[in-house]
Amino acid sequence: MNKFTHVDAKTVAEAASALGSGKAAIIAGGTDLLTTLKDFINPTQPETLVNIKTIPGLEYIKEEGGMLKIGALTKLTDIAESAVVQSKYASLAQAAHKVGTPQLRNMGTIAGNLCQECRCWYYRGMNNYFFCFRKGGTICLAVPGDNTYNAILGGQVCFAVCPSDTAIPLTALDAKIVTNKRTMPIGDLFAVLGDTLAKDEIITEVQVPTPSSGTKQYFLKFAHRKSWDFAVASAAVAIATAGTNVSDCRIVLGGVSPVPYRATDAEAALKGKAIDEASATAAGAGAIAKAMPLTKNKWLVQETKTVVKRAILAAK
Amino acid sequence: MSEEPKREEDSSQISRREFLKDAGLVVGGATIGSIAILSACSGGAETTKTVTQTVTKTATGTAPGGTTTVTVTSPPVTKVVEAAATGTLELTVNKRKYSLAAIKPEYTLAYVLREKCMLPGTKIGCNRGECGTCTVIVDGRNVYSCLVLAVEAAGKDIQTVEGLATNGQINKLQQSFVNNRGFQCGYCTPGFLMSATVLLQKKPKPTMDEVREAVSGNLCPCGNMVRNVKSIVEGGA
Amino acid sequence: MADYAVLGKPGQLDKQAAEVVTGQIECADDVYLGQRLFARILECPHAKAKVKSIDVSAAMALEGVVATVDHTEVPGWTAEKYYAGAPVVAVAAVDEDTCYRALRLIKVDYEVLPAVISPDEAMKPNAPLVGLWPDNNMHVRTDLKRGDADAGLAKADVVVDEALGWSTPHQHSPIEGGNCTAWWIGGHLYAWVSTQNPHGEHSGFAGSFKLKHNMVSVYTHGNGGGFGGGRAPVQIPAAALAKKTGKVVALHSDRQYQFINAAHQFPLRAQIKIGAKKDGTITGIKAEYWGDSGTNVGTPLTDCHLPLSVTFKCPDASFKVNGIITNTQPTGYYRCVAHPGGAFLMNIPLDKLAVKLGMDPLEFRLKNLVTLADKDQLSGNPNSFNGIKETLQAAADKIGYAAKKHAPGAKTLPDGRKHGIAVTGHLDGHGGYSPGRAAIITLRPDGTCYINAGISRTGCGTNTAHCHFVAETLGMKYEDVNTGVYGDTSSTANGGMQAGSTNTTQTGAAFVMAAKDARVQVMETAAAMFTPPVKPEDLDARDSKVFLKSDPTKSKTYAEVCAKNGLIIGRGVGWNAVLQRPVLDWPVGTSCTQRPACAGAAEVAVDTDTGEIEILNYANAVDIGRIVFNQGMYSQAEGGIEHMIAQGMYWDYVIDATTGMVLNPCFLEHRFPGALDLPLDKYSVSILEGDSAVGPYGATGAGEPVVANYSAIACAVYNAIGVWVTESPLHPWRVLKALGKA
Repeated sequence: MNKFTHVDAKTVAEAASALGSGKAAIIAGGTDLLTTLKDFINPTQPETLVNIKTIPGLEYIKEEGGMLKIGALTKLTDIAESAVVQSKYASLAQAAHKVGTPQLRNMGTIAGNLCQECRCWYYRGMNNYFFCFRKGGTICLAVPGDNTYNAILGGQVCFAVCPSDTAIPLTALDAKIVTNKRTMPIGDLFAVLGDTLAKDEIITEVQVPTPSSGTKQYFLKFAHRKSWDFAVASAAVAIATAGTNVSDCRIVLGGVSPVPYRATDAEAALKGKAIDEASATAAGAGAIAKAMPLTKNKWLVQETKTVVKRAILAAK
Repeated sequence: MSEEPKREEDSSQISRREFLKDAGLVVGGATIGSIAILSACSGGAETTKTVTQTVTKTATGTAPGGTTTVTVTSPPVTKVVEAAATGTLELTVNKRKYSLAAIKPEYTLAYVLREKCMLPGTKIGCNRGECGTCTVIVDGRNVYSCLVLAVEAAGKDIQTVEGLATNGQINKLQQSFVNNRGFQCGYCTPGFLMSATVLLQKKPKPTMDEVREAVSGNLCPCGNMVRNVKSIVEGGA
Repeated sequence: MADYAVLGKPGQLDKQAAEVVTGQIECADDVYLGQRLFARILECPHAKAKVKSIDVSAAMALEGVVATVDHTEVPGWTAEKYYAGAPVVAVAAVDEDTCYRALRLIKVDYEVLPAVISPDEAMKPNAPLVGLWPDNNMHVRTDLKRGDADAGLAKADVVVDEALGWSTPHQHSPIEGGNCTAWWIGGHLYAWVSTQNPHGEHSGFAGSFKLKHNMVSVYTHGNGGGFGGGRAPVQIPAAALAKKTGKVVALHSDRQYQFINAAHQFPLRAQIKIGAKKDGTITGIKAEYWGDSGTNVGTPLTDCHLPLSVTFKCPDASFKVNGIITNTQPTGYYRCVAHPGGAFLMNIPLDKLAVKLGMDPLEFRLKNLVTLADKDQLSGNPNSFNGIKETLQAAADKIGYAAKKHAPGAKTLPDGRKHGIAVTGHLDGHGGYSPGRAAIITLRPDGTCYINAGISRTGCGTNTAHCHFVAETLGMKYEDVNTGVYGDTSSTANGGMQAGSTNTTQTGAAFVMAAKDARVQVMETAAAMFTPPVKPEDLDARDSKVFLKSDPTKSKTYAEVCAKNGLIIGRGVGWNAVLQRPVLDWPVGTSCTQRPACAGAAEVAVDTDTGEIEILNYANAVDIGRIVFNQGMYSQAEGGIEHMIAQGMYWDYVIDATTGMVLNPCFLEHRFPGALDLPLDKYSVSILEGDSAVGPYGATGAGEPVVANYSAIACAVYNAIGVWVTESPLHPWRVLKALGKA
């Protein structure tokens, strides 16, 4: 790692001020940040690490005002094991549990999980060799290269995929992200080349509106390994029903797009129908309607179709 | 200022490592000079501190007419140095306090445990949080010590494999690993033991599936997983 | 079979167990803590380049950097770099972060040369030259003919002719990468090395630095896995830096360097033609293999045909192996040579032929096996023992093959997944013999014994097995024999390389001979202690007591004997691959060929919508001779299943086709399976014990036969879905592609 100055922030304002001056980065769980520093892959190497774990009052899970509030520093283990999250926000608990390993969940925070760097082989390539678009180069090297695990949906200039598991159900549950500057829909946090936070902006809280009773939800993740892996394709669904039919739903895809991908065609295919094999299959087909696979990742179309269908059928 | 770290072990069991280390000191004379310590900056309250530093360099050379010693003193240099990290670091490992000097902010806990606390039972397999070999327990939770900055571990309760045995007596979990041959090469074993210790504190009689989940962040490339897991199932209360 | 007092008894513990579970086992990176310099290596970013100049001035100006070395100072390194990731400069500094910062400040001026990455491209006539052979990129490594393959195939009623592969690309990364801590005192080089071959490293250092052998000492204790040439070489640059700096230098290959510079298993492909009569008798085989050697021109792929060429009776056959070199990372041994990949390629056409014949694939194999009465089809020697039929049958029985088998694609599980089952197996080429291994044992005045083992501790438990041999031979209790010094080349005899499944047997034979040597001295001493004195040949020993054969109640304890004679040491050397007892009509002393038999059986469920394979059951059967260290043997066989699952479904080594860079040089992206990926409660192991006619006490090696049948997964997947996945590992995308869904 490069040399850096390590600052323990005592307040959000102090942290923001430290972030605003010079090249600086937040360290919370550190599980993603330190791997990027060890491999020198950050386009800008921070000269200061601002430790926000020393800010009191940012680690909590509570229900308040019709919503679930999760402090930015809350560990993934605590979210996965929280009784209230498991009972009313089950897809989030499922996703938090599917992140990494017990050790990573003991260390990693919810905000860190949302803001982690992508895992594209070219972006993270050995000795920072590949000067890809994400690093300021002219093209995405996965396009002519090995793109077995790159985006099939929503890729434009960069085909790296959003690695976050928790972002997928949070998007399906219509979460909001609170920072020291604003409160925004979670969709506004993500962009193709990473998060949209300002230099001195710090996530302080994640808010999830309590789903109306009877809302079915599920998070399903396909990955090579069960022990510890990023999603090959994942889907989170939140489905409201009126009588036997779907009155409203949100279907979000992970692992196949640079951002959590709202599969509106899949939602349209499901709305108004009863949940069954046929409607779930139709929604799966809808999810991939706009898929544009690269040379080696046509298989992800099949995986995506299947993960959506199965997540719908598993929702409860 | 800094306490010489020593491993607490039965004096009759001085390891070859200790022996060789001493031998090296005497024979090799290969002690590596410690990194310059800015000891003036050991305060913890401030995040940065301005110090004025004067560097003196002495050079000895042979010039026509004899040996000359020249001493050059640089003009005072004022720079901002970072405080807490370049000063001493207090770590509590296996209930024992270590006062460590010259800890840079970029040092990981794994590195410091091994190189500064002299506790090499914590191995480094990947240094990227992918293999679990460096797993230690911090405040009751198992973490990858290669992804923890040492300066952030100050004041926490850290437990390593060296802390499992009491007075040279291995504990029940370790004995179970011995009995079941819950290891092949043994390099990943300390990490498995630490993950297992956390599990057994919560669930003294875990099922096989609970163990698999609990050690899913620990790799055993030799392929001894079935015995590692069995050792943990049988290693609880 | 004879009943032994010590060998094979369950419950005997690993001699280093207490060191392991306390974290006290010393590895090469655990010594001289707090006193050493750290070193790391700069890797070449080009697939082929020549170093024109290196500017280390900025790196040397960095605070904490002590020295650098490059190809002008490191023996064996050259200015020519033939693959991306090749070592260019090693830097020593006060801590590891300073090393990495220094590496980024080194400026290297390269002449970048045209490179060839793909083996399919490299073998074309006009391809750029890799540069390691003067005029081409492909050499014939093996060209074997017996009888007339074409005539044999012409006699066949049914023939298959299949293009297969690439198989088995993986870097079987051991958990400890290459580590070396080196220092020099008075011109004598000392080094702790993570290695499977300490005496080999000793010779390597002496040769590289032009030292007399008595000016080198190598140490190795704990060794974090191995699996063949799987560890990145760091010892020579470490020693070069130690020499230059006059300090203790610890060179640790980080995980990326390890994945790139340690040997990875060479990928193989093949064209295999097999013909058979209607009754299933194989009449002819014509097989040609191509192996991507990367930049290791001598990579051990010559034997990839062996499973096919020795297991099935076929007098009319030909086998050709082509070694292709490319500007990619070096390949090499994986437990040990090319059998897992060769077996994968072989078993696909065998199954296809069985299907064409309308025969059960297992029945087809059983019909064509060689037997003990056949001479080995390659060497012409007797097989030392041969339980291939029993081994295949044991694997089949364990998994319930007879009751569960079905036609390809014929069985769907209630959850919609397809069910498949298969058994594969072959005769293996490992566990061979050569002389040149030696051993020393020492008896202490209290009647205990320690062995001086010239090997490291890699995990397979061979130095514990050697304690078994010594205890058995001396008639001592198991707990009275311990490993004393091990892996220290100054105070042990050359125990050889832990490779080729030879350590238990070849080195073990040396320990048996050493114990016999000591036993003679024990008996002579003891004989004089009886009143009246007896002859040594009147005595026997068991449970650490020397007793009169005629009256076992009259005895002396080992403690008494050794108190009388405290100077007993034993030395021994191993023996050649010749029969130690007669087999059929072959007398003792006949040259023979060790062919351990191995078989794997897999039962799978395949999700045809996701390509995901679940292992429902996996049986591993090995014909292992005599079990020596019981726990060690079973943990090898169970571990073998984990390695087969890893080879078949997980491990993958991906090289960028344009740059030649390894794209996934880490555990995560290389997909090392963890506890949730391995069906831990679905393993079954069959050890077929039978005395080998060549090994000590009938033992043979186990390290390689136990990992060789991942092809059972591919065959079971075929049995499930009715289409072949002809490349490995069987990642979901390969399965979906075979199904036409990707």
